[in-house]
Amino acid sequence: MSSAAVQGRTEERIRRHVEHLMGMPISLALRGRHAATPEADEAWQSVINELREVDHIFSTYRDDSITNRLDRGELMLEECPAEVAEVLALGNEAERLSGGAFSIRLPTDDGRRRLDPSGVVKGWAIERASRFLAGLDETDFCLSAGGDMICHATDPSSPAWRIGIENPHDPKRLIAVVPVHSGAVATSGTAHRGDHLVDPRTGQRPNGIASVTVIGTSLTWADIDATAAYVQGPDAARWLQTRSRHSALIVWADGTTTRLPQDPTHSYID
Amino acid sequence: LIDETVSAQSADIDMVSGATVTSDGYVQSLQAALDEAGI
Repeated sequence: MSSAAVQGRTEERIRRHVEHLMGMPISLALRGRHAATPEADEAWQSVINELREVDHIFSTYRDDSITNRLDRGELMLEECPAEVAEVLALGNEAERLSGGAFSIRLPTDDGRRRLDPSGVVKGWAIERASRFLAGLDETDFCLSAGGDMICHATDPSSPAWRIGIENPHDPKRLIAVVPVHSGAVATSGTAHRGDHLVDPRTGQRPNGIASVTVIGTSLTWADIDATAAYVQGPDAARWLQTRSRHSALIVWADGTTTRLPQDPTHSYID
Repeated sequence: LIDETVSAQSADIDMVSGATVTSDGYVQSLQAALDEAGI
């Protein structure tokens, strides 16, 4: 790989970009050959442009988004962009795999269910948009949307990205650092106001749990599984063990933690 | 896999994963500190 990779991590130049979209920071870290080239700027712009398009299709906050119009019966699924059917299919699969703990049809105060695909869209959109960055030769990236990210290192000998896991009881501090060479990291928990995760089966917020971090190969599924586990509260660890090929860190409301897999010699991530 | 519990101050990290990483709290967040440091 390029000469940058043989330097120590502290000397290695990391180029960063950040933009706010969909109410969250989209952060990018780049290192290697194209970290600071016009090609990288172009790839970053492509990522942002695509995420803007995704927001116009899937936003629950925009009255005129495609999925809000679909939910109101103003559009048929066949009239929507193909991405809508793809996201709905993922949501239905996630609902099945989680026994209903994850759903893209969330209960409302008036007793109906509204279409809210945002639990699928964030991870799916970032994973999809990351293809623009994967096209940069000999360049490593870590692309995060609101704390859920996909990491990629082109060379097996290059250092892992070091991902700090926020302490849900004190977000100014970290509770763990996870090295991820190539893979996805997603955390679900008690976010800021107006964004409370509830169990779709009961409409209730979970008890006893503060956050769930899932590390896996796919950000779409790491993000879905973190959310599905979190809303199950005390059952989070048991349920995550039914989902193979994941590592996870659960922080409980009392500050204790559970790591999965529990056998520390067993790691799914290189 | 998960190294150890560390304080943010001593951690050499590239990105932050957490449920409160929203634009509302961004300015004061650890992620903002990282983003700023790299430019």
